[in-house]
Amino acid sequence: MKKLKINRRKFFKRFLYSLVTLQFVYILFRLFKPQKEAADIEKFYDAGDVSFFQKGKMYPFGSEQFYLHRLTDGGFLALSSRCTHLGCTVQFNANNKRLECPCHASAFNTNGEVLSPPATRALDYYPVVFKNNRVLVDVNHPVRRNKHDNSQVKYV
Amino acid sequence: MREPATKKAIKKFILHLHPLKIDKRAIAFNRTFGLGGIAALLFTILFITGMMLKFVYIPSAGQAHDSILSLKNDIIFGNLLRNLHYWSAMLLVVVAFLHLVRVFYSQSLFYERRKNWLYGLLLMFLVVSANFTGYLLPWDQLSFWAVTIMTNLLSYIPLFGEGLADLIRDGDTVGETTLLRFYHFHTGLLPLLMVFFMAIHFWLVRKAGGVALPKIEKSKKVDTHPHLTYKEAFVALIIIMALLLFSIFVDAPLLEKAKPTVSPNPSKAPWYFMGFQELLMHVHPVFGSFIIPLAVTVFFIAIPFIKYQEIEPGAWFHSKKGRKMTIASAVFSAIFTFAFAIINDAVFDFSNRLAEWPSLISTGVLPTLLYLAPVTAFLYYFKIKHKANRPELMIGAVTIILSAYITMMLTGSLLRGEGMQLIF
Ligand code: HEM
Ligand code: FES
Repeated sequence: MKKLKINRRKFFKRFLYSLVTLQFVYILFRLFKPQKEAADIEKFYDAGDVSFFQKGKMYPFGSEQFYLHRLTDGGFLALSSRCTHLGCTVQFNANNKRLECPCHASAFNTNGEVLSPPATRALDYYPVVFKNNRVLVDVNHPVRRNKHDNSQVKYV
Repeated sequence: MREPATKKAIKKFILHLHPLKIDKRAIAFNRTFGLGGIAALLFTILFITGMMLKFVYIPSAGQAHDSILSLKNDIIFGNLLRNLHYWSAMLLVVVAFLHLVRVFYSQSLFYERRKNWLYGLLLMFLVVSANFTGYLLPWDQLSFWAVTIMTNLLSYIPLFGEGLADLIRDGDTVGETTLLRFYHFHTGLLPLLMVFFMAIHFWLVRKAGGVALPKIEKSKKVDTHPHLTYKEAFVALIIIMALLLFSIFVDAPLLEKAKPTVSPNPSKAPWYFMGFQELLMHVHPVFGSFIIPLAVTVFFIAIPFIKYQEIEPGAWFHSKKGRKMTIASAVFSAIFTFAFAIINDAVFDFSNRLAEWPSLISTGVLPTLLYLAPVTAFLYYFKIKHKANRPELMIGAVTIILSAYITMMLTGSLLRGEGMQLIF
């Protein structure tokens, strides 16, 4: 290895070049970084009246890409229809009571838990709030999770 | 007196790229197979056809697909234009890859050519990126889902994968802004970078004294013009003719407009990424999306920087033994990789059988080691039994990697049907 020859002038020159480069990279990064919107109840999706949803049923919202599951105990869970394997759109199979992915055959139960691989994570869910007896779904903020647990289910 | 003036101009221009006189062996077709030049030609064709497509194409989710349809149906030669651009792009990926392969096997990447090997790898990356960003633009069912699959493959990279995928897509799904982003990469930044790095690439070829040739006592030089220039023109004409004919008869695929709610079955990444998708079906995502691709990239970068006792720049396969090793390694790797993929799923089945182990060990470390053991033994056998030296072993190792990737790519693209099940 040659010994690094560096004097003060060279050092400052390189230092300045590095700073300018870093700044440039940072600006590019900010340019490309997706804008994250804050949760805003005005932008929540109004799924309908609480009383409309029967217990133990799944309701598809195709255009918004989620399934609203009313559990048998009356709780609500809004499941994203994006497969956690590689992002295809899962379909509800009413006969088997499971969500199936057409792409590589992953399957999920009605709480989004994995029934068969290649997916390893449970389906994302969307936060649900209730206002004036209506079910509002925050469709802009899917929540990643590894497993399903009951705290993710919302009750009126 | 017009004719000679044009002739002189052309000659002068071309002689900025080439030296005046050139070694006879350098222009033999089976030295480079003209692959670098063909890549440059294809880039030029893509640039011209792309510029024209830009006048018709509308980069928005609502109108992109319709603008392609109107290009096909309402504009004279519009379909031909699109086909030409599409087939040239696919051919460029193939040709750039073959060029890389030729440079490696003719051992033309050592000493003064090291730097150019790195610029070449960068160009390969740019070629694939340009193809991939262009893939999305028709906004049909094929392109939408291929890009969804590919960007989600990236999100398996540990720590920063999720962020990287969001950065590329501008959000967590492929949508309007992804299209705009890809459009500007595809028609602005990437071609600009490619022109820039191609210029450096060509300059470094000349700086190294032209293409690498084995040392001989006395070489015979000929005039570049007409000996090389006519050959180049001849190859260029053949490529252009073949592309034109192909584009007249074979349409670039275009499915129905993208429907984010309906995924086709099966959904696949673009064909050149299928090896990657196939790999991810067998090993833990941290290995499939990160450790293994990173290791392969570092290995390719390192090839010309490793210490060798004896290198023969310009000698095909280094030696006769190297040639034999290439064939043996290619066959071994193709069979072994295919068999391993099937045995790993059907017999080992670690994800179920060792379900209580951490999956990083059972489906990551374990299969990787089980794959590497026979490969190492294979190379070791050549080292001991046939006294293969380091360049020859390197040729063996590179062949194993290339052949394994091609095998996985073909398996994923051709042998998998519905639900990504093997179709036999
Ligand atoms: C846009 C893509 C590319 C273009 C247009 C291009 C063009 C060229 C041309 C015209 C040559 C002169 C010799 C020949 O025709 O083979 C050359 C040589 C070379 N290329 Fe490329 N190339 C590209 C990509 C690559 C890639 C992917 C690699 C490998 C990593 C690479 C590495 C090299 C090296 C090391 C040489 C010197 C070979 C020698 O001296 O014999 N290039 N390239
Ligand atoms: S994307 Fe759903 S199984 Fe692959």
